[in-house]
Amino acid sequence: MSDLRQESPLAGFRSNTAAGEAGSPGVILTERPFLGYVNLRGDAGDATFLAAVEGVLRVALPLDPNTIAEGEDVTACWMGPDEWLLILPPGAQTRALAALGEALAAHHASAVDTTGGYTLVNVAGARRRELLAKGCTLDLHPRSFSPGQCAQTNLGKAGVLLIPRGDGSDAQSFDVIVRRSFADYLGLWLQHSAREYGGAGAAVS
Amino acid sequence: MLLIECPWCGPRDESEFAYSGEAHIVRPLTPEELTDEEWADYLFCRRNTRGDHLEQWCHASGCRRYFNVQRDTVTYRIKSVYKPGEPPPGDRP
Repeated sequence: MSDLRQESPLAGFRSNTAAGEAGSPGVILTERPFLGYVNLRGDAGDATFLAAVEGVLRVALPLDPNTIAEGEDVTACWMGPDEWLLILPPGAQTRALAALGEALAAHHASAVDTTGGYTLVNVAGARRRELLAKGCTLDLHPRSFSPGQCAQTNLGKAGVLLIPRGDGSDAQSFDVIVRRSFADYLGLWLQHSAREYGGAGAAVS
Repeated sequence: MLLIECPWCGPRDESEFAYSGEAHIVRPLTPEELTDEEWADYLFCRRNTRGDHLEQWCHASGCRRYFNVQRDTVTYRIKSVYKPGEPPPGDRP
């Protein structure tokens, strides 16, 4: 059998870290590859559906638009009035899907494995907001966008899901989830846009 | 740039939205009984309103949901937004 190896959509960017500059870059880009993603759809007005999902994930689905709910090993993101994205540790999607399939068998609902369709880049550093603001029309100020929220929007020309991360109202970093077909574009866009804030130190790794 | 209010996501930039034509066009229940003229009217003929226009928009780069907008075609001012299935505001223009 041939030797199979997982490769992230941004694998080509890794070598760039070797050229990292000394000092503290204004922006730190870190890819978190191979996370599990599950697209979940169902009727938010159906209490039995919500209870069934909570029984599996051990966290209640977020019902307010553009918010997240964090469980022990799952982040549930509101994607629409009847749609959520579950972000799980690498490999955990298989068991979650099986459990959801069982729990939702009697419901008009769907849980679809979209792992491999996305990758995640974490944007940290003092200039994280300036970097994202170059290609994003959202108000990223802590008063309007802080941990606990999420937003689907455009970054550059790519559609992304933005999740502010950290404690308190001031997000220490932002998770940028992008479709893998746009990952190459977005990786280059981020590196190019980050150049003035930290040069080659800002490499996706 | 316009700010358009998505009924779910709140005000977002115009660039996140896609226009989807006139709202409240009901598909005939029995298309096979229509004349060609009536079918063509359903398919192609739209109001060309000057003033308040009820139209569909999709929050394409956001929650990807369709909703309805009441927009003045002269000034581009969006007077109200409402979810699918909700009645249009005021008298139908």
